[in-house]
Amino acid sequence: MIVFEDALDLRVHDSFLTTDGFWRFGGRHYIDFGYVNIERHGRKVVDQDLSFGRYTFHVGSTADSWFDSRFAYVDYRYDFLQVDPVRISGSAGLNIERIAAGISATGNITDQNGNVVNGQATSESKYNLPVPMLGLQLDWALSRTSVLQTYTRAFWIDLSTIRGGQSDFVLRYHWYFVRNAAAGIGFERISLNLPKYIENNEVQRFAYSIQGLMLYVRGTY
Amino acid sequence: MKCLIVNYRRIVPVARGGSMSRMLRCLSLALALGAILSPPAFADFPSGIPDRLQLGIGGMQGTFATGERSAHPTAGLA
Repeated sequence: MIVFEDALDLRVHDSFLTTDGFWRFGGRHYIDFGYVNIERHGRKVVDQDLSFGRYTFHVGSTADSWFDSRFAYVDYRYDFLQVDPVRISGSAGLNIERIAAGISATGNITDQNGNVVNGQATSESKYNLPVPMLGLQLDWALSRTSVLQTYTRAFWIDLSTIRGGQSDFVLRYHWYFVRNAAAGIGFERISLNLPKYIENNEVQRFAYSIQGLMLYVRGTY
Repeated sequence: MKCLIVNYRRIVPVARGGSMSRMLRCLSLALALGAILSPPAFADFPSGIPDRLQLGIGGMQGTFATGERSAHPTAGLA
């Protein structure tokens, strides 16, 4: 298992923009949506042989690497409990994910047949993963101008050829400094874990997690 | 000498970027039209704060972990 942060010097900590929102089209019905795009890049002289795609990058080759991930989320949510000051809702949605990882390097590279590669070699792997998600959300109005919000969304599958899933957890505090705008602080964790995926009698595994603090502004209408 | 091995296959190749982009554009258009044309919501939350439509944008300081830091010499993707 290659660990990009260790093997290719991708940054472990990085900042990025995130956006999300909802449209409430009835007393209890919502459409939630969100979008996150993260692009990370690294550059390192390879200090352990590593195979990626058609190439093996040997010790001493200079490698540029990237790991991009994009999450576009949409769901339907329903308030099954509305009592002042609490709302509890359940959701069903789709997280459309794109993950692209690649290495471009020069020097000391061999291809899948063991032949030495002259010049630059680039190998990239892209994945589009539409992941269905089920969620549970709590909104609690702590006062007339502040709301505590938390939700978790998850999906897990266990079949003979694939086992894995994803979970998202969010905890946020909104403060409405004017009627139509709020500032907030929160914590979010996204975790993908695919411990088994069998294709052509080969077992593959994949794991990726992001977590951190966020600051944001919200407009409300 | 250690050798890190990565399999190079799609995990779940079920969608293409072009069709996904079209679907996202259609969803965005439907959402915008619905928000504009629908009647106002009637139960502001918290009281006095409208909640028919909310949009938020923020910055996040993330910590990343890609792959697993355990030794599995014959499998993996990162």
